[in-house]
Amino acid sequence: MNTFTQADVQDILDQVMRDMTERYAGIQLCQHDSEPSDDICTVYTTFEGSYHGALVLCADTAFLIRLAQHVLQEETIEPNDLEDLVKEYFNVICGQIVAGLFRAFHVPASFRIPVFYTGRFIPDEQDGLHGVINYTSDCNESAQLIHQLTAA
Amino acid sequence: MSKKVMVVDDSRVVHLQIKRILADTDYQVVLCCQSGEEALEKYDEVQPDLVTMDILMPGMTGLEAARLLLQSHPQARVLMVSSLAYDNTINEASDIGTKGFIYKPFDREQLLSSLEAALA
Repeated sequence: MNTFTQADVQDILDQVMRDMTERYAGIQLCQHDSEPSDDICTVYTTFEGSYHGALVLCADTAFLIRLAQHVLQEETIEPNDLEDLVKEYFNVICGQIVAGLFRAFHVPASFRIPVFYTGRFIPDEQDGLHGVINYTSDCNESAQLIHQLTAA
Repeated sequence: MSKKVMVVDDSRVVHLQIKRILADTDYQVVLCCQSGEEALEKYDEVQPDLVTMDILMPGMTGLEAARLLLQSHPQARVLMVSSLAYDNTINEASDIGTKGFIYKPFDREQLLSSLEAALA
């Protein structure tokens, strides 16, 4: 089993985040030094296995609504549908991250069912790798991916 | 005659996506379940030709549900549909006796070809 560095994790997270957002909802993201606005939602999960820690996505509500509109092909998005859609979107991202880390470093792991919050929520910081990647979308919406993944 | 499909996934978004894809095909979604427990409870009532099964759900995992379902109904056809797609889970699904594995996010062609292969 190999270990990984923060740079390794950042590379895989970034690749998965951009690829899956485009495949899932046709939205292009690029890294950009801007933080989400005050009107945001958070979805997060924790990983267990050969590595552990949390992964958090804070994103402009406008970005998440646009994502939901694209996937559901509906103009009006009910709060329950938004929560369900965002959790599923994050579930896809997390699954691809687990697969990506396994392919690169042969480190098996799983993750818990994502939890959704309206507003900003950052779980308690833990020891280990810690990184933040900021994104802006093709419509200038912001998203922020925060990770605390560390080898077990 | 259309093939009956039971969808097991805790996400209503996935229920909707699969229903939309299968709407104009020879497959009919006869029931959507949000947990493995619900699927096991209703399988006999519905008697689907095929079950699509997520892995990460509240309660028992989809792999556990598939294992129990195939123990009690060896003729059942289960297609795993999950984002948790890497060697360990794919191998475990195969060992249990499921008929395939499709990765999220999937598109129409991927879903239809996987359903066809699972029923072959």
